[in-house]
Amino acid sequence: MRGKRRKEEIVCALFFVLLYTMWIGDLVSEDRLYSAWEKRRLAQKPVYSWEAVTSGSYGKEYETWLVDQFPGRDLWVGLKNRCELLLGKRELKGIYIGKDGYLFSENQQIADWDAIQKKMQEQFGMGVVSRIHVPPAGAVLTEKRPYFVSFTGSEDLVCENLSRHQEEEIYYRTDHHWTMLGAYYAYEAWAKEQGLTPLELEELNIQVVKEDFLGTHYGKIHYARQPDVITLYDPGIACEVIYDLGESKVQGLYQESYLKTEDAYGFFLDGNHGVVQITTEGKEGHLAVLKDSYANCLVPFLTAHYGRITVLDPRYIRVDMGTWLADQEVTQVLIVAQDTSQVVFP
Amino acid sequence: MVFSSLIFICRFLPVFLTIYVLAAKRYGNLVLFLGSLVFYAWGEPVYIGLMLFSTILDYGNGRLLEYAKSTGQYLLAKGVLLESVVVNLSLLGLFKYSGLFPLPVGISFYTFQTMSYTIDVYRGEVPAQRDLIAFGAYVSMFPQLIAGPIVKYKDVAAEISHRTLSWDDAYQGIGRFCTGLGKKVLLANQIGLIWEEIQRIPPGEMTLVGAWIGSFAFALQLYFDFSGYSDMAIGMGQMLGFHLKENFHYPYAAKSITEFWRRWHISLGQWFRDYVYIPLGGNRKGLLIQCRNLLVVWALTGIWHGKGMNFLVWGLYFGVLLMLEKCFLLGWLSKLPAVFGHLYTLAAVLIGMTVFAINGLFDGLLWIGMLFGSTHRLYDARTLWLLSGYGPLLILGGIGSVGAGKSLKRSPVIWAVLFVLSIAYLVDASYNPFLYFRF
Repeated sequence: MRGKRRKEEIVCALFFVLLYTMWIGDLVSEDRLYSAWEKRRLAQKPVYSWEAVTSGSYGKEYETWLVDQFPGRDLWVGLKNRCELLLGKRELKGIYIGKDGYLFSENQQIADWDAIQKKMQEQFGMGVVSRIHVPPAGAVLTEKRPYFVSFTGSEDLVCENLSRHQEEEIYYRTDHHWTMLGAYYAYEAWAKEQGLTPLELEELNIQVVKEDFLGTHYGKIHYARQPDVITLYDPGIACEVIYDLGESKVQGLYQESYLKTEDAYGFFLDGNHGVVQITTEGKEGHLAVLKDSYANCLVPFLTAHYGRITVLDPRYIRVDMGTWLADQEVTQVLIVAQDTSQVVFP
Repeated sequence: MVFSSLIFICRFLPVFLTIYVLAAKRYGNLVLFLGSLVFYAWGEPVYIGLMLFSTILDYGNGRLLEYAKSTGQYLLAKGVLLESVVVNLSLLGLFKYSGLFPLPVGISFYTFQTMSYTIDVYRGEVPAQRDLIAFGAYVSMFPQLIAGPIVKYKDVAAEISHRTLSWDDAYQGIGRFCTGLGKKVLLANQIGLIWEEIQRIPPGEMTLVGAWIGSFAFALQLYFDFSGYSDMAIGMGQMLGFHLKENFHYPYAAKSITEFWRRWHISLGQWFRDYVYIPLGGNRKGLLIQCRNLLVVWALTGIWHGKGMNFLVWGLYFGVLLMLEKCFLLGWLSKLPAVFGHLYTLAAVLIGMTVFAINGLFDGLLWIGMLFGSTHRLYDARTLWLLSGYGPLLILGGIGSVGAGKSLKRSPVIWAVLFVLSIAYLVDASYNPFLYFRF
């Protein structure tokens, strides 16, 4: 009888200790302002006031604060996701778990690119404006998708060229972006279409710059089979780069400082800027690139063909892009952006 | 506050238990009463006054009833009883059915509890509670305050006045709480996502298998949600020295609807039996009266769940099935192998739950049509996708819901695993509704 009694006492005591440990753990761990993984600001301790308490808002805010700042939050989240995967789930928080460690997601385009394209064609003429529809990874990597799931995406020459090379590392496993190699194949198809001679792969300086890249998809679910490698395919063409009209002191097409952060893709073209101006000695023409972040690792290839490149990201500039480009003697306009992509069940 | 939240588990529970254990001998009811008010008011303090009003009113009613009866004023006693029932039902009508106010959490549960108190005192089954704090502790008792089980006063009268803490009860209670938490957080919330996902499928793309998975998932979600909450309530009560009656007993293992309702939300069924069905004459006045009584009780049971027409239809649906069973179905079923009883019950319950789940009768009927093959296809890639992602969880839930592996529920190791996993799921919770909060 004594032995049984002891077991009950121990379990009760452990339960108490566990409850208090979590509390004390919360007290000693410092609050974070921002979660780099979740890409959002975390809730902060609510301000106590009698009005806030009686209206109930204090209670609700206290609760969000507690959840956001829970000690070991990332570990708990990781434990949950592993558990879900163990139970056979292949979709966590909008991230689809494919084969060979590939993670996929749906995508919402950041601007109405069709409207922008139409406006540019009206302003500069039909032949001047071209467009690279960046196909989402899920639409290209047909062999890597989870069973029973497919992703929508436009079908054109770029997509075809990428599909031809789908056995190669053209998309990151843990991030929504394509790799610089993927961007190269898109560029290759586009250049041929434009009557340009694309750079050959052999002409590029290939260099691995990061071997343990964990991207945005990883950040959402804290799970990845293997980290990604970031490889640079540098055309090695000397050029001058000015970010945000000189407001930013950064120089060059690649920024190594990003490689040590969670946002390693920012290595290309210094993350996201409203305006990037690139000048290359001894080349003709002015290309305007209207783009989202997918273009960041594609732009370096374009330096082989144009004397001036102006890169615009509609998210970060306040003036209308047409007005901006009006007196810039633009000879070519290129839109590089990903299309909206949704899961479909074929 | 809800049990399945970090604020309850990591803040309220340790503080409350510590104070309660230290003060239980003399101030147990006071600590329980005050703690319950904090629990109820947290994040939603508006309706605390309503609950206190209900508490004080029925405390007064109880005393008055006792006075009237002891002095032989039976007319006064009848009047007080009538007043109590009318006021309680009016509160319920005003706040739940008029649509003028947001629903006060738990009102359907505590008005039924206070009504049971005055009725029992009127019937002389229990003496009136003289201690306002003790009565307040009964009404507001946080373990069962917001989602039941509906504890009749006579069932806990003795423990309200005198209860003891023991290691054994605390141990059992902790286990029960962890099991309930796991049911709610790990099963109900996760299975609920399937139902949500299937509901988002456009009707034209639904498949037969998909519709059945949807209804099956909702039925499992409702069971684990509500029985998980009851487990937590019963476990919490036991930690505090109360022994509350069971509210669920593996309803999906039933072989008839009659049996199903003896196993599902038992406290509500018993409430209606004691205070409506039997007073109406129950089954003692012939089959015709019995059928009428069944329909009345089940119409009320339906309405109790909400003001939507679907709840009334849902109640009557079960009322009619129970009537048919009483008349001849049970006799037929008893001659057939048990498997037919199980299949019939499961199908009938799934269809019933579909009516329950879907607001809007027309949509409910559409869904039932899909269950009977109005869909274009048997299955498609999306169905297979759902099955591959959720199949193991559904199987696990299905097995658990009929009581297989219940010996696991006695192992402290399992409790610990369930508790830790539940915390992980709560830290990352994006979907944590309580279905029975709507009632």
